[in-house]
Amino acid sequence: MSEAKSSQDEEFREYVAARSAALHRAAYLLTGNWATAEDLVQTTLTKTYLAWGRIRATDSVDAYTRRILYNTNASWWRKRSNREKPADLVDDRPDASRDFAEQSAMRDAMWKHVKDLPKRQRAVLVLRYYEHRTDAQIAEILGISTGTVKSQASRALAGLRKRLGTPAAALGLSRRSEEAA
Amino acid sequence: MNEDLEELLRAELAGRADSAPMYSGEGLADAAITGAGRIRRRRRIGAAAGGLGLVLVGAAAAVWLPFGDAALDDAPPVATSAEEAQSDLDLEFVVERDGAYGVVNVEGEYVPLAAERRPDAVQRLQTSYVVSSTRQVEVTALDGAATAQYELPVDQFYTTVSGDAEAFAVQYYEADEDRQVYELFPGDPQSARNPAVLDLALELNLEDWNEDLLVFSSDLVSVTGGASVPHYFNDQYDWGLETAAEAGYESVVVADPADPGYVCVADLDPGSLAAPDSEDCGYLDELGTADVITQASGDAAAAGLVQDVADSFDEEVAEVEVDRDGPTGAQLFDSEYRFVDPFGRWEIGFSAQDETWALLDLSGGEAVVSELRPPRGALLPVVSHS
Repeated sequence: MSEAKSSQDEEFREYVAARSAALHRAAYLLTGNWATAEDLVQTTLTKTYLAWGRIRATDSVDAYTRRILYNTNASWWRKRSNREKPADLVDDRPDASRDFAEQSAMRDAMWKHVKDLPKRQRAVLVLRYYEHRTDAQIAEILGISTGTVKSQASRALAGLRKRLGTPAAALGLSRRSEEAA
Repeated sequence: MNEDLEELLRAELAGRADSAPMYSGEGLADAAITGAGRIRRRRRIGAAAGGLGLVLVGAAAAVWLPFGDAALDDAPPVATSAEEAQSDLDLEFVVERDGAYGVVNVEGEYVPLAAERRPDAVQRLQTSYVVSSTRQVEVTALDGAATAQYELPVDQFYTTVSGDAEAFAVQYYEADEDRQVYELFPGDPQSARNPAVLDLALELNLEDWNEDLLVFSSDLVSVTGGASVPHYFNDQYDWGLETAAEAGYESVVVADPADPGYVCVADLDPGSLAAPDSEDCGYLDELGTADVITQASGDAAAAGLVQDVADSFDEEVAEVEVDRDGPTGAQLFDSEYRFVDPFGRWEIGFSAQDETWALLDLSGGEAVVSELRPPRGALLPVVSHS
């Protein structure tokens, strides 16, 4: 292996060491499953390495990798989602009070709703509310217009509002009542 | 409510992400480097250290010969007769006899070519031999009964054969414009006609085509990031796809070898000089991509053609090490001419004055280098695509 290639690989290893944990967290929020998040990150890093010679000296390595991560999830993932469903995490937080239990139930309901969202809406939520990106940055990463970012976010939030409008709704009580009736 | 909801969402996403199991990330970078290497692997010839030549061959001829194998390190070169090469490898030879050129086929019959100039390359298609020489390409039926000749404006050009071996294209460089030109011809001499001419940007490589569809390869993902949205390559990079429309093609699909399966589809208006508004990009395994290709091409077979090209980028290869310090091995690697069978059965190397050629036979269970004694007047082997 040439010295230049070796040095390039070393830079890539350093980048992966520094960024892989953050990539995994974002991948988990996108996929809802740790094992598949690892697959997504591995695919993303493989694609990133293919372009490493071009992007390593630029300021946009992280933006490029993010773009690959989100777009790979949006496309490649579609095929797999038919046969592989994200596993629900077991919430082992203590049930110290009724308020906590209600809040916990609401957050579980929210997470379930986020996991059920269409991929693009989910990606917009993760980028906006977890990565704290601006709409312009989100548009750049996803390759869509800022108008689409706004409409996707708005639609996702509207769904959440509908689902979590009341604590009872969050707990699924209204649906059970309707079903019982 | 909205702010509360957004705040709750922030907290929930952060909490879920923070609940991540401990992850070391060890080996992740190396796995990515290895995975990228697999993607990049293509058939190529390379020189390895220690006097060994490394030959990478396609899966159809997968052979692994470990370093130091006695069969190649120490054994004296084996001789292969022209007849053996004809019967065992379906090898045909281009020959010059009595001032004329012809092909000695696998039956040992002489098929005259109409070529007036010394052939630089001869390729066998389904129904014809395509003979490339200076400023000329000539097509002769396999039985020699029909011929067609086409003049070209340049001395040097490359020939590409379609996947079904029914057609061929010549490609040459236009230095003044820094563009490339493809001229597409039918493989049947009895269907001779003016070629379809494409004036294209240099980054496009023609991979395969049929009557309706052209499939190229190029770097896409570094521009799109793999996004499944419309892009504007033709507009922004002056690809020249309007010349494909003018030539009568219904669509163009460009595939990315670095990310097999990722394609951009341009729906053309055949017969016009109209550039496509944009290209629809996405992965072949996405719902709808095959339909986009089929609809743009008006051809039910189009998506399969594109898939075949994408699959070829992912072709597994095997490595064969050949002793290049021996006389035949050195001839194989260091000669003036080198020819490779598209089906991976053989490779041949020789120089102009050589009486024997170096033959690497990959057709059996092991790789064998031998001295090939070509027939009288032999100029070069025919490269067969059928």
